[in-house]
This record gives sequence, structure tokens and C-alpha cells, in this order.
Amino acid sequence: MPDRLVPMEPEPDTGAVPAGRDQRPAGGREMVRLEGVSKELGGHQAVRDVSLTLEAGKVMSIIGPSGAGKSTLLRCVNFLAPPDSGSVFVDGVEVCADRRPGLEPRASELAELRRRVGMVFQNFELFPHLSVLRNVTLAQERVLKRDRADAERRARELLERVGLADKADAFPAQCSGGQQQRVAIARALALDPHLMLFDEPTSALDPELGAEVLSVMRLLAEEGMTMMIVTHEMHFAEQVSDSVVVMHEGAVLEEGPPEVVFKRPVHERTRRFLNAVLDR
Amino acid sequence: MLEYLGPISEGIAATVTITALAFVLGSILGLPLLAASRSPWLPVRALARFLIDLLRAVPPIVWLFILFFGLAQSLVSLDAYPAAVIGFGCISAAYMAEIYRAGLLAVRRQQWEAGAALGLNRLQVLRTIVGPQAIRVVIPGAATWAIALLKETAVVSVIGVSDVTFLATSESQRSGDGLLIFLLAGGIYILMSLPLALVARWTDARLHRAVAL
Repeated sequence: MPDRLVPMEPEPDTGAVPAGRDQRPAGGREMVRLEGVSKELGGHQAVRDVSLTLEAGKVMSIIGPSGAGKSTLLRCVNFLAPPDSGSVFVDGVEVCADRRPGLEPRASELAELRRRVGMVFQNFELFPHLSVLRNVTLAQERVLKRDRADAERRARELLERVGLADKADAFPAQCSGGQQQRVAIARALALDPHLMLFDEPTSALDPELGAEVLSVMRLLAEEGMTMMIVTHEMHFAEQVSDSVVVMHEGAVLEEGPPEVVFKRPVHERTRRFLNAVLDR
Repeated sequence: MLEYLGPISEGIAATVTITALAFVLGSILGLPLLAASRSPWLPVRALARFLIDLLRAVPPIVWLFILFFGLAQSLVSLDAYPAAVIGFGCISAAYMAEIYRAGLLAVRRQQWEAGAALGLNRLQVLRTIVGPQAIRVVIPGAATWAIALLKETAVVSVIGVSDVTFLATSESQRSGDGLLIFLLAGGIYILMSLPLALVARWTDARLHRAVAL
């Protein structure tokens, strides 16, 4: 039985994966760099000139009141929400935002970027017409060109690690929300991403089911996955993160290690937000 | 009764083949029409919307007259049968484009995003994720249209295609027994549409089991 979610070193049976992608990033190496990222949504400046960096193997939590642009910022990282300006660098690939027709990033650039980034959504977004196993193998075959047997082997390993080996043949609708979200994590990990984005992964779950998901994420963090997490789970953010980013009205209000941001926040607005969410 | 049934049922071939050919033609032509109606370029989109609305707004019998008595007599030589297939094929394309569109809209936008985030391109997402889910909505709509089309094709009798209605009309004029003959014709239409309805329900039930949304 595999004891890790993230492969330690190149596996002999995943020969289809391009060379060099399976080595775990060394600590201190820059994994993510956002420069001047801005994004307007429906006439409203959702993200304003955000610049951030994240080292390989580190976990960043993004917190703040709703409407602060946290999810939009996360979606800018893999261009699900293409930024209006700025640039996104992930693991050696840099994509510059430009919305002018003809100057937009090429599909091949976006494919390169998305190959390195896995994403987990608030509402899981499993494919309802496919079995759990097929949900995890589909993109391995279509994107990484793994053959069916390799993809299924990897999928079953990951399902076992997230505690769902027995659900492989079930359909998403036959799984609880917590199970669906763990399948979604396995689906993203199956492509061996170097960065994982989590967009409020537990917001649609009751606390007990959310805990299942958080424990998988904790495991992932311990194994050295680089993670950016938009969350309202303050205790989780405090325990697991290496850095915490507080967003307000589309901009970064403050950023620092959790012990500073949670215990001695600089900004009055951060204090008010933390008081509101922690004193409940 | 049987002496009427024989001649009328000779029209089944025309009714069924015109319906089938027009439906297949419409199902195929509906796809580029759908793509055009969702194009990022406004002129293309506007043209597609205009075509869809125009094809649906004008009664089929008027289209047939335009094709057969208008174009076919003055520009190109076109027999009644191909004119019927082409006319109903174009009308079907407009309805099918709308049925396809409803299918796509029924799938959550986030399913496109989930596919894109996994690195699948738009065509792959359409083929493996959104399309199979949209089919569930498309099939009942397409079946309803197929049944409507089967009955609509009765108007091809006015341009002289020997379909069920045409033969029933001439038979009733010959014998004067209108009531019985048109009841028989109605029965034949019911028998032709029943299998369509049954196949549609059966497929729908199967898909509902397979695609538990």
C-alpha cells in the first residue's frame, strides 16, 4: 500500500510523465509568483494589483471577508478567471495576462500552466456521469497520455490514500459530500501537480464531513505539497499554513506567518474580521 | 376497409423517409448552427440567431411553397421529394440547434471549469464531460421534435409527394368514404410515432440511471 499522496521520486510505471516533473521541489525554491495581478468582474474590481510569492513545499492560506476577491485571485492563478493585467509564474512557467484580442495567452501556455496546478472547488465538481474511478483516470489519459492500466493503478492508489478504495465503482451521487471532495482531491493529485489550489474546500460540507477533507489536506501539507487555500477554517489555517494572506476589497491587506497574523495583526480591519470569525 | 388500407399504407415509405432524412439532416446542420449562435463574433452570432428565428417563425407549408413553387420553378430544377427533405431538414436544423443549446445550458458552467482546471481543452471537455451530460436533456427534446416532424410532413402532400396524407386524400376523393379513410390515416400516424416515443422514454430512463445528476 502506498503511504504517500505525493510521489517521492519518479515511479517506474509512470513513464508517460515528462522527465523532471516527479522530483519533489527543493525547499526555498520559488514555486508561485504573482505580479500585479488585477481582475475586474462585472464592473467591479475583484482583484487589485496583487503580488505574492510562495516557496515550494509551503502552504498559504488566503482569508478575509466574503467578496474580498479571495476565490477570484485563486482562479487567476490557473487562468480560470483570466487576469486583466499582471503575470502569473508557477514552477518555471510564466504567463502574462493580456485581455486584448489576439494578445491573449496562447492555449499552449495555459496548458503548460494548468499541467502544474491542481484545483479543488467548493462544490467538488465531480463529473456526475462517470464513476469515481473514471473521474480520477479521465484527465490522466487525455492530458498526460497515460494508458488505462497505469491511470487506474494511480487512481486506486490515491483513492486508497484518501480512504475511498471501496468507492471506486460508485457514482458521485452515491457518495457523501466529504467523500466527493476527497475524490476531487485524488482527481487533481492524479496529474502530479506541483501546486494545489483549494477554493473553500469545506464550505459546502457540514463540520464532520469537512474534517475528513481537512485531514487529507493536512496529510498533503505534511508531504510537502505546495498549497494555496482559500478558507474560512481559521484553526486549520493557523495550524497548517506557513503564511496567511488577508484580503480586503480585492487587495492584500496583510501577509505574514499565522502566529503574527492571528495573534498580532497589524491592521484594524484584520482585527475586526478575526474577532468576528473567531469569537463565535 | 382493407381495400383502403393497402393504397394508403404505400405512403408510409414517403412519410417515414422524409421524416428520417429531414431529422438526420437537421441533427447534423443544427451543430454548426449552434456553434455559430454561440460564436464570439457578433455578426456570426446575429446571423445564426436570425436564421434560427426565421426558420421557426415561418410555417413549414410556406417554406415548401417557396422552395417548390418559387425557387425550384425559376432557378434550379427540384422535385417535390427533395424539396420536402431540404425544407424540413432546414427547419429541423433550427429546432435542433435550440434543443442542443438547451442541453448545453443545462450543464453547470463549473463543469467546464473543472475540465479546464484538469488541463483538458474545450473540445475534450465538450466530448467527455459536458456533451454526455447534455445528451440527457437533448434526447427528450429531440424525440418530441421527431414526433412533431412526422406529423408536420403531412403538408408535403400539397406539393404532390405521395405520402400517407396525399394517398388518403386521393383515395377519399376516388371513393367518397372520407371519414373511414382519414381515421385509417390517423391510425397509421399513431403507429409510426409510437415506436419513437417508446424508444425516447427507454433511452431517457437508461440515461437517468447512468447519469445520476
